[in-house]
Amino acid sequence: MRMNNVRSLLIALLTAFVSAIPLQAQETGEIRGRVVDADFGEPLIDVLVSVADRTVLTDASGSFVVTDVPAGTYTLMASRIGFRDASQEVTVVSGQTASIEVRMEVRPIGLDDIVVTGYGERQVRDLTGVIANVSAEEFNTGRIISTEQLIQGKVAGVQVVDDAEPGGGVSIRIRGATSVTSSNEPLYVLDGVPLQVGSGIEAGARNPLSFLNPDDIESITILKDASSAAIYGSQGANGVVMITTKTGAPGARFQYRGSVSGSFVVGQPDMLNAEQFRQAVQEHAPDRLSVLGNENTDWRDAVQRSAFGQEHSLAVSGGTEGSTYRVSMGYLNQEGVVQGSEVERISLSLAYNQDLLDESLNIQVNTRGSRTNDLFTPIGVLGQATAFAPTQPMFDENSETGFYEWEDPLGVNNPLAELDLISDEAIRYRSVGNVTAEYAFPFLDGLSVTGRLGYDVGKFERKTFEPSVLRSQQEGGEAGTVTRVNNTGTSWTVDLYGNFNRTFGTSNIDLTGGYAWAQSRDDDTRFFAQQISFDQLGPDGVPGSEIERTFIFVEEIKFASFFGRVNYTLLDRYLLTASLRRDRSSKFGPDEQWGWFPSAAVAWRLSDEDFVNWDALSDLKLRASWGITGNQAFDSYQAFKSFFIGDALAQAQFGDEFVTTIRPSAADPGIKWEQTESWNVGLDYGFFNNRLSGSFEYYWMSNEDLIFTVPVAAGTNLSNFVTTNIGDQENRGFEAAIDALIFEGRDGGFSWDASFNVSTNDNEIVQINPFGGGEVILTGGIAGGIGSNIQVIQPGSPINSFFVLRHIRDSNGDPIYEDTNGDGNINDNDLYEDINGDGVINQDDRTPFKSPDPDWGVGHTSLMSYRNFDLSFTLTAQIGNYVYNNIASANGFFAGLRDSNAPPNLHVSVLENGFQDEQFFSDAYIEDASFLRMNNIELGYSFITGPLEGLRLFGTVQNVFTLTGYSGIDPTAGINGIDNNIFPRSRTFTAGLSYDF
Amino acid sequence: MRTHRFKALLLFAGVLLVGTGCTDTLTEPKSTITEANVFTNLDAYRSFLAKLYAGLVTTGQEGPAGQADIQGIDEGFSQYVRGLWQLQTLPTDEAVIGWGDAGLPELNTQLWAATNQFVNAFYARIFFQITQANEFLRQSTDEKLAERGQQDLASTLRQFRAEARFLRALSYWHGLDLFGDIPLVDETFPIGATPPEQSTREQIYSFVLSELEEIGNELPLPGAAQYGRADQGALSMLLAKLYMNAEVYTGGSEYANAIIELDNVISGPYELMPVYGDNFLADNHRSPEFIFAVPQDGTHTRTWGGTTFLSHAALGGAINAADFGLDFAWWGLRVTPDFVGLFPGGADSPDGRTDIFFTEGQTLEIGSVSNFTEGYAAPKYRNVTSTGAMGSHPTFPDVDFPMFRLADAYLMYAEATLRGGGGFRDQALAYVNALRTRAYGDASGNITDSELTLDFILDERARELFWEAHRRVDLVRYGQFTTDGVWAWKGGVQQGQTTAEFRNLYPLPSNEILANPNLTQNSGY
Repeated sequence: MRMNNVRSLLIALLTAFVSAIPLQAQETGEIRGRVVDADFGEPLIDVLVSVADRTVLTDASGSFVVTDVPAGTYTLMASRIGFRDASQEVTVVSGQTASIEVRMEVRPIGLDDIVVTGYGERQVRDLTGVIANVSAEEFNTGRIISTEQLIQGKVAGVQVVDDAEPGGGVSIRIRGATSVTSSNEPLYVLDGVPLQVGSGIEAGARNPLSFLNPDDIESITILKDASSAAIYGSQGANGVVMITTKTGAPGARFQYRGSVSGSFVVGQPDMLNAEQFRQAVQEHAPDRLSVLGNENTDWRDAVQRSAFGQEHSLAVSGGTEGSTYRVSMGYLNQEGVVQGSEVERISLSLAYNQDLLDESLNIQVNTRGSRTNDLFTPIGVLGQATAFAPTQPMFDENSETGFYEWEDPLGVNNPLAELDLISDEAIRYRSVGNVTAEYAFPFLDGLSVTGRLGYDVGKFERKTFEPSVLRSQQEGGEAGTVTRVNNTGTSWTVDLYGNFNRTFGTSNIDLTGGYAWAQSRDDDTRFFAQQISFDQLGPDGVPGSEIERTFIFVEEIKFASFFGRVNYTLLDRYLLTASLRRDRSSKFGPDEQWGWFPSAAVAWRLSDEDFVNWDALSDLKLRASWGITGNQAFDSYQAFKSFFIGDALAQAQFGDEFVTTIRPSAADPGIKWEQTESWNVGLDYGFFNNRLSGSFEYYWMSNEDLIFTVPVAAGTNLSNFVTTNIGDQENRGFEAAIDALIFEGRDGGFSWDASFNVSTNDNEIVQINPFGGGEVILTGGIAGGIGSNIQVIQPGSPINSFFVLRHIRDSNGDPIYEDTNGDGNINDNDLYEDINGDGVINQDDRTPFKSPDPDWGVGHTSLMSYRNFDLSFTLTAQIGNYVYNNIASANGFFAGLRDSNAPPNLHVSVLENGFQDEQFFSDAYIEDASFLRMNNIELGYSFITGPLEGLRLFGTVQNVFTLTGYSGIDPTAGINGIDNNIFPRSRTFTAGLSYDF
Repeated sequence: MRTHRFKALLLFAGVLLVGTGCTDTLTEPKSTITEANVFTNLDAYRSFLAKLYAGLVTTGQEGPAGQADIQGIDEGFSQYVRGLWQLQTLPTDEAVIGWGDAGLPELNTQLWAATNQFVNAFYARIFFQITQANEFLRQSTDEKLAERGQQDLASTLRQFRAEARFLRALSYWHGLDLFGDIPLVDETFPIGATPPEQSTREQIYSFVLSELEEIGNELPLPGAAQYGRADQGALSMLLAKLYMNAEVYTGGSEYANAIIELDNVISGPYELMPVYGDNFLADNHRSPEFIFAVPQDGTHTRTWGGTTFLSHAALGGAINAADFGLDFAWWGLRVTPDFVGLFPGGADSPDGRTDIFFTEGQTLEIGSVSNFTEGYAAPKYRNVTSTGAMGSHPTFPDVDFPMFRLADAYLMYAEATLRGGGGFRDQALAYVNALRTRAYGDASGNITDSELTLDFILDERARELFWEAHRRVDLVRYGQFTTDGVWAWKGGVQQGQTTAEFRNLYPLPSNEILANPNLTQNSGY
């Protein structure tokens, strides 16, 4: 060590001395060389050769020349995509030509890539768990507002469902839902910092990750199996999504990316037109004819629009070896295709990386912040536009607001009035960042320690104003409402861990151990004023009001963990990983202090065995893993019996006095995390240097101690339900992925990289009652009736199966509507199957039927290039997912016309079904919503040479087409499969450019 | 160089040590009150008692809805009076409701199942009241007061505790009446314990009687309590209700005891409201006839159940909601033609109680229950005052629900007398004719002694007390609820048909059967 130091010092001095002396004559020589493929000896073009601070490219014959090289000995470096870097010593003698041949070995695609794992990173070839990595070039294209959308359809077993609203909610399910009560969203880890998802920081925001600029994302890694996720213990049960952001590299670089887009609604709900509607009223509610107007209004069209969007992102990066930076700024503005909906975001990020202490200490600073401004379409506008009678006019000069309204207050309110008069806006600031210091001990090779301090702070305000002139306000009796919701959240994390990685002979050992602490506090404050005396101030002032309410809720979460992991590799082909984590959380009750989360995995690289000597096979690895993870994403303070004070509108009358009430709540002091035990077996394969590669996985998971809010025996607690750990469910599934570099177009020839993934997941509720009975928990609220639910959680069925009456069908398979039992009227006894055989049709005859979860998920991505052109597209498909068409059911019966003096519009299904009365629970409304969708297709043109080098122009179409048999407007009706006036999906055309120099 | 390394190492070691010391994750609620700091003065006990009363009218800690008491059902559906009213009225000839909410049509037709959400909700509401009362009794013992140094509150709390026991007894009465054999849990039963055993209807009956006997002297005299709170008048009415139905509950005849309690009530400071309909208006808290009422108030006590439901749901068709002090009609409740037929001359009867009917645009017969205009409307609860003023709020009426009123005591007295309870027959006739005179506006509707029969009383109870949640109890007592007695839509057909006897009781909710393995379901379900 010391000798080395002395020698380098001497060399440095000598070099300085030599260069300080003006040379009388240039004592230089030249290097001529050739770079060839090590296997076949074929010349390699476009190899980057660097030597003596000079860089050249090889020509078509693989040759290169470097002239005027000062005499001396150098290390020549050669690098080229698809090959391992090669280096070779070369000595240049003054006035002579040094000849050299460099042989480069083909690098099996992907296997040497580094992927991040929890508290560490690992080469792909050494992985034992199920970890999928999606890098920036594979991301979805087009108008991407939230980070999750980047990987929609890209990874087997990862379902990404967005709600089509700009910047709206996105749900990710990794290998199905693991919980009922707690969150099913994965843990997000941003540059090593676990985000406090579910905390107040993101409350009221449309989406937890919408604060991120997708252009800053370098890669997204998904830890799918328990052995990978168990290092995150009680937060890992839903899988982990590790997001790595871009960092700088030496050499100044400037990047701009900008685009504009137009979005257009695809599909409308099939409501009656004015003529059909009038006819229906004539036939089924003739005494309502007098209230009909003579217009032909398309209400949905009236509230929708063609939406404009733009996005700009600017990044500057640079630095030197040992000190790099990247600064980026982003601006995004996107209108929704429903009026009133818009998102605007300004984001800023900084990444700084500094080596110190002779490169033994590395400091990384990574911080980003954004301001998001969301405008919301008033709740109900879509439903109103769907149900408003098409015969009625939009405007009415004589009304207070200028908009037409029904005389009968039970009538649907005019959505245009709501759009015009209501304001609903949210502004959110959020910043997430960390400082990470990694110190490699110089005196003990392979030992390093890492300390990371992370923060996540946010402030959110939503202000809503509903003026007193608005019809819906006057109906509620509280005309004029101002609402303010304020939320501030602060979260800190500390991670301290050490790593020891060393090779002893044929063994490699990699040990990690550490401690993590996280703590957060959220302050949720709300203010409501109703019956305001003055509309003119909007949401900005309440000069007087009849009712004012405030609400304050503070939540603190603390979380402590210890963790350790060992990776052991023998002969590069026998791999073992084991980990253990111990968690303690403020969410656990006093009776459950600590949780243990172990995992283990083994892998065997068959392709490295001597007895496997098939040349085409570049990789073959068998894997098996097991682990226990937890889910603690449930509400705080479940273990405490709290006394809740009633408000001023829920008092008890004692004589002339009104007394405020207090009420103790039910609680379970033994509440704890939900636990998932999972197994995975997998196989990785690669052929032809991994030009064809992929994997198969089979997994099964048992989710135990699921938290349910369940009925308790009457008399045993302070309410009829208590929240406790009692349920079990299972998920099992199969995943396959294949990635093929079908054409590898060197020299600008045609290149095509295609990947496919297929997955299945079967979910079954095992039990939800400690006594093993066939308990039924209703979920999935629908429009129609009050408190109606269409889904069920019931042992033996998939979670949230539809829970319906089986409609008797005629010979065409259509639901019947006739007096089959001849008792003079048509009711449930005529229409539905008597499932329990008791001779009566009632709620007991409802039965689980299909589920919103797909049997199969399929994704395909193609990346193609030819000369200056590139083309990419993504296809996704789901098979066997079902949707409840709530628009059809809620508006699908003629009695709706008679229930008020303001008949609402009906869904066209009523013409076929002929239902007089509501049939909310009929299986006729459960539809197969399997689909194939061209998610996005992008065509780009890059300037490779000339003055515009680095410029790329592109055009993208998103939601190009959807093939489906579903009759509603969107077969991806949210994650819960209930299609009730969901935000309409749009087709988006984007044109933009990126410039990189 | 070496010192740098040493410093760095030291720093890391230090941070690691400090950090790992930190494993205490306990956080207590900051924004809610816990048991440790709630009962600091008398007001806290009073507020808790207020919750026991509010449990009859509100549904959560926010009005009209929010922080619900009962889960698993729409909050408005979970309201006490609404639940009680629906179970006691919808399966009878007094009402049909046109809405399609899951489980609601089956209440009209007596075809309910153990999964019925309204059955579930009311059972849960009964036991919510019982367990909250139990908790009150646990928190207000002399020992607890001594622990908190509040011995001086003991005398005041004695009446509070008696009221809590009265409210618990009231709910147990509703429980045993509707469900039969239910668990008996009192304040000695610890929270979080294993599920209780099933008790028989007789055991619950005896428990309620003994409770009411014990607390009798600790409640104020009849009429002496603050409006909305229980006194000995309410207590006697509850006892009378138990005795009147003792044959149903236990098989024993207790009419003599009923007469004793009814005498106690009738001799109290109560008198009939001069105008029948004024009992159901926004200012009905002034009714001298009320013995125990569930007060609602448009400003302070809001709910989606109670009279909010009863007043709105009765409106629809050609009715102008504003005429009833309300913002709009809910198009739900009507009466059956059979009920209208109890009045001589139907809706045009000289009996003034039929003035409540609204017939314009309505048909007498009900071909389709879901169509509001089929069946006469009967907007009995109206959010206007006796002087014609509007209630304080167009959505949330000021109308209080009469749980017990004097007219009921009169009719019970007459019935108990005819059933051999030992009352005076002429007195009974006078009580009935007092109601008839009020109804007809003069003596033209009065009956003679020979017309005073048990059947007449059953019909008169319907005419006088309809839509006040008595009808099912009465029909069961008269044996006319299931196997005898037919009215529109009973049994699921328009002309009506008899139903199986087991439907005299509601099923124990399916949730409860699963959560408590000690329970046996009522036969037939």
